[in-house]
Amino acid sequence: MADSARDRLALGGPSLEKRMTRGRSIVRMATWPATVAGLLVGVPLSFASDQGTFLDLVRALQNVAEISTQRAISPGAPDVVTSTMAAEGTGLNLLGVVIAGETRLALVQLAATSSSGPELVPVGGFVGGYHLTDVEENQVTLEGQHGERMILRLQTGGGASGETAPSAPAGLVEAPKVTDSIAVDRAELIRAKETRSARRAERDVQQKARDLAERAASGQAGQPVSEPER
Amino acid sequence: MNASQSLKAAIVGMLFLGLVVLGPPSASAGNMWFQQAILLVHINLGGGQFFTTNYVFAANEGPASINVKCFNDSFQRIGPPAGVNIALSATGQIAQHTPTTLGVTSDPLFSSGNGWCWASIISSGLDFNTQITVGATSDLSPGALLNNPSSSLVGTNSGQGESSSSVAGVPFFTTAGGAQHFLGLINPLTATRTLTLTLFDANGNPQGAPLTRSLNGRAMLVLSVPAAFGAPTPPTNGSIKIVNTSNAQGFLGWYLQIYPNGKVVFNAVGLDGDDTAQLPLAAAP
Repeated sequence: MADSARDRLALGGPSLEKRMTRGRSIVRMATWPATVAGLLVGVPLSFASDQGTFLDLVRALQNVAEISTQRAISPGAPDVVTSTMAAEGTGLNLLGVVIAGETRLALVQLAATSSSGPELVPVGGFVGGYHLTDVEENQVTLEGQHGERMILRLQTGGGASGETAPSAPAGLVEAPKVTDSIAVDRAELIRAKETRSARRAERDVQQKARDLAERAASGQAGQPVSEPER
Repeated sequence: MNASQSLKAAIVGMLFLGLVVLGPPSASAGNMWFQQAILLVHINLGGGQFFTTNYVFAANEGPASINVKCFNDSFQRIGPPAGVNIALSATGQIAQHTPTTLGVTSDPLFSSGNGWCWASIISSGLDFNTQITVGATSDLSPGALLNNPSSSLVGTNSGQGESSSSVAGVPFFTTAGGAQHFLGLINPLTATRTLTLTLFDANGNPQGAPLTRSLNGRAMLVLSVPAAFGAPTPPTNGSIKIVNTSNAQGFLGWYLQIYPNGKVVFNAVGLDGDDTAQLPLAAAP
């Protein structure tokens, strides 16, 4: 009900309220036969249709679940399929990694024959058309435009060692359109967001402390707070 | 101040100091985030009906350009390689999308009709909201799932801006009266995670052996509950506990509880607030 109508009702007192109630009853009487007719005629048809859709949906989702279960990989299976040749085909060599706190960088040489020097790429950046998604002590993970993933291992004297997932079927192949400036922008975005997240986390801790302090002050400090099961 | 009050104040002080100095930073729960995972469904039910999704992207924090890239349930990229950009030039502006407008329905790799998308703001660090609606309809135009009176089995939830490194759960499932429950788990990141799922009856008794599933990076797993657990006498009602035994960020999910009378519960899997982290831009595809 609008505020103005509520105000008028309050000012009008019981007699106005009665008049409005009577008005609503008249509206209800006028619409009731139509509602009943709808219930008798419309709903059974709709219900039958919904039942059919329900059964079709259950069948479809059970099929999806069955296929998904069959496809489930056993625990411990490698994330990617070994294919050193494919990694070599990209011409990417991992020369080094930098892990310092939240900062993770990969030093990647684009191609052995390339005249340009190695590139220092942050997580989230791009190199050779691949997106750097993870940096670990001995390897980095790259992801292609079709979701194919490749692990580049750190060189230990020999040639580049790499593993890659099988390529997605052809039909959607398109040259990557990623520039270095985009990679830099992404890195800046990540830094800005991480700063905001850190501030937020700090606020959360302080809020928790205040809540706990209030709880203690109100005499609930002695109540144990059980640690969630892990 | 009497002795009791002094003692209380001292305890409070110590608690405060201990929490601020030593306490681990807690993740802030929130789905309004600049990186989100969204469920993607577009299944042909026959007779012109599709079980599909409708998305409403809202620039609630400020103007945003959102890039959406999708994956099928076999962790393959689908749709345009560069994704689809959704430009929201004003605070509060919204845009409605469907699997068709996201460019995935014509992709041969999307034959299962099942997958997920990563929505990432590429223009700023501003956060947005996504409303995901699932349901059956014959009208595939944006917004029709919500507006067309013939749509049925409709449920709505939001995009998810967080993943979990450990504990999560489904609060309730039922198969009473022919109801059906489906659980979809997604690993939006790139490294494989191992999940252990335990089925409980309504009294908290574990049913059968826990189910262990490996979830590849960018992969999706769909389970029919409770059938997937293979319990000899599965309970009619209960709950599910999920533990990411990899102890590293990398899973989230939704569940769909559908009833023969047309009621639908479409909800996000509950992620333990102690174990969540917001999806990082660095992991965006």
